[in-house]
Amino acid sequence: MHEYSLAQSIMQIVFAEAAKVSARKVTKVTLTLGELAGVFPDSLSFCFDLVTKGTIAEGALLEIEKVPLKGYCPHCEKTFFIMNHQYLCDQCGNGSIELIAGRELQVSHLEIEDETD
Amino acid sequence: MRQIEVRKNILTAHEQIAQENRELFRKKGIFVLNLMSSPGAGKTTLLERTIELLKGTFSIGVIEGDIATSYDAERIGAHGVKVVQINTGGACHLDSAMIKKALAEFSEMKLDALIIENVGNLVCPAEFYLGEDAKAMILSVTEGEDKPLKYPLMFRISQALVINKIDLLPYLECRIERIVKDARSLNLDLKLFEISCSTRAGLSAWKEWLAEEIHKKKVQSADNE
Repeated sequence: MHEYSLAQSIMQIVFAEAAKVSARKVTKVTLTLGELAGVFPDSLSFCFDLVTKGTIAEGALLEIEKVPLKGYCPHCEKTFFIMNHQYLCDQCGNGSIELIAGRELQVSHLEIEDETD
Repeated sequence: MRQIEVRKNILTAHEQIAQENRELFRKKGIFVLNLMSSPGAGKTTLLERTIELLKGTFSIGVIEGDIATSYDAERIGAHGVKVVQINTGGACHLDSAMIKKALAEFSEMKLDALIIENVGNLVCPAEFYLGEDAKAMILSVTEGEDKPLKYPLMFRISQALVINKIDLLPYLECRIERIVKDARSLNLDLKLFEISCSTRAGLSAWKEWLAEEIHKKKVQSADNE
């Protein structure tokens, strides 16, 4: 994943949401990142610090909530964790499974300071 | 200090442009293939064979992606199809903005299919949607039977896998069965083609799949009008 481009896109969302509530400062950005997003958190943090310099989000903590890859097998009617990129049901070996979690790439919530703080 | 809920998907600028590209291809009924592989796996040669087989039936355009040179565009141009060469100057993959810019050179043409030969790279192109209908990747037998599990995303997101250079199998310790088994564990619906561009073995199945996809796209586009 190309973390710099990702950091820029995250910042666009942060600025837009902060403007909606007239925030004075953004102190924390929480992301929901699925395993499949292939993001390297250290790189992303580094790029995030670069793009927030001189903005209302400068110094904000980047918090990442990781979501592991989960599949659902319609034959066994059960969900299971997908390990080592093996997209097969761990019970019956069926490959026609549904991916139910792990692809998320989302700004979940922000912590902000209002003008009055 | 307080918390505000956002829950917004991070859709990058490139993905937005990719969606615009996709919409343009849908409107014009053009089937678009994103062809990817490591350097030297045989993308350009496969593309040459593909053009030989399909140009009598369909109007084909090609976008070539390389860091430098127009070697590939020259090879493709010799087959009499319209080709545009993109030189990234360093970027390791094509992106949707580059494609959008190149599309301007095809605007006067009525194309049935557009084949995009991506920069030789088994990693980054998998992460950048260009607006295509299908992704096809090539793994040549000289690259090693262990590659699917080492590069899972590329194999997972492709619709088709061409196992190329099969004429060289007698000289290698490569087991196709292992490539097939591992690739299928990543992507059960992957269409597999075993091909030799030298001997032309396996090319007719590849040609038939493409012809069917091109035809399907035309029908879909006509239905939506």
